[in-house]
Order: sequence, then C-alpha cells, then structure tokens
Amino acid sequence: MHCFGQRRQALIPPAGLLWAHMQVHTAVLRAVVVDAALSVAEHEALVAHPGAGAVVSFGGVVRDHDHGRSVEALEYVGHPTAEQIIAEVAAGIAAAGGVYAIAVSHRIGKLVVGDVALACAVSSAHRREAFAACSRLVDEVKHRLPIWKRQVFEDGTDEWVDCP
Amino acid sequence: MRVTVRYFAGAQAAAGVAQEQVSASTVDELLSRLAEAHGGALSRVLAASSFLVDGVSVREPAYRLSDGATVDVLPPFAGG
Repeated sequence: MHCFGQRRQALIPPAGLLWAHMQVHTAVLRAVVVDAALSVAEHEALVAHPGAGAVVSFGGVVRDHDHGRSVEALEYVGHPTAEQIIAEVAAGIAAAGGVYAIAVSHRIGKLVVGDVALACAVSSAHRREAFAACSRLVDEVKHRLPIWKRQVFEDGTDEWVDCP
Repeated sequence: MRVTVRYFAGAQAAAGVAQEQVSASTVDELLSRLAEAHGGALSRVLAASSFLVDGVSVREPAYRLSDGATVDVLPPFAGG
C-alpha cells in the first residue's frame, strides 16, 4: 500500500469576526490513491470544522450489475501519475473557494460488490456550497483521474469499462 | 528512433503485452506500427486513447519522438 497526500492546517478565523467579509481558506486534508479499504465516514470526520453547517460526502460503491449483466467483482488499476492528478483535482476544487475542507480517496486493486471505490467529503458553512463542491469533485475525479476498471461478470467473462 | 511503449488496462489486454520497444519517428508512425503489429482490437483502443510522451500529454500526430522516449497508451478513464 502506498499513501501520499497533502496535509495543511485550515486557518480557522476566531469566532465573532466578520464572517461575511472573510475569505474562507480551503484545506485539502486528503487526496490519495490507495490499495486499502475506504471509509466514507472517515472522510466526513476528516473535514469536520467548527464553522461548517454542512458536510456532504459521496461514496462510489461497487454494484452487482452493469448494463443488465451480473457483476461479480471489479479491479481498478491506476497510472503512476494518478495520485498527482487526484491532488491537482482537489486543489482545483479548493481554489474555487467556498468550502472549508476537502478529503478524497480512490481505491485501486481488487474490489467486491459493496466495497467503496471512491470516498470523498466536503465541509462548508452552508449546504449549497458543499453539495456543489462535492458534485464537482466527483465529476472531475471521474473525468481526469487516470484509473481504469475491469468488470468480472458472473459467467466468468470480463471487460475493461468504457474501453472499445 | 527506438521508443518504449507502455500499455495500460484495456490497451494492455488488447496488445497482449505490458510494454514493448518499437521504432518510429512520430506519434502517427508509432500508432500505425502498433496497429499493424497487433491488429483490430488494439486499433480500436488506440483510436480512443490519449498518449503521454515522457509523462507529457501529446495530441499532435506529427509530434517527433526522441530516441529512448517512453510512450504511455491511456485508454478512456473509468474511475469512480
């Protein structure tokens, strides 16, 4: 297992300061690619912040079917740059502002139905920003992360997803 | 120019090897040689893939390859 991430301390403004005029500093607390089990709850706990009125999380979970076929297992493989890219994606969401903290992890290796492949969480003062940032984070990860997925079906055949 | 081609995921499955050495002077020429050598399955994957030359994304077919370069074949991503 390898684990690499950015860890920065959030700048927490003293309570009672002029919140409306303060620039919120966004901390990327985790942005990694790992070959170990992921917990969405752990990501939620990571982004906890005293100023946060909303924590929005997402778990991408292995399901037992795809295009009407029964899926038995999945294997994810990543390019050596995957971890660098997930850090860039998280940094991009952080730079857009409006949220306190971001945590995101993608799992590689062999997964079975029910396993979490992608875990992320975002905290912000209000729900709208947290929903938007978490949604954008997931979209960007799926779009930019050089990770591939092999589906093994119940009948023993397999395919690389989205590969012609 | 002698380059190392590294295949990932579905590209590796279609090529039947993880990596190989190939002679080509441009990306375009390289792709033609790979398609010739491995046939239809890899051709289809190459048409949908993106490429890194020594870690840098290259979209220009006429891009000139230097001797000893490493070319990564990246099929469409499917994370999440």
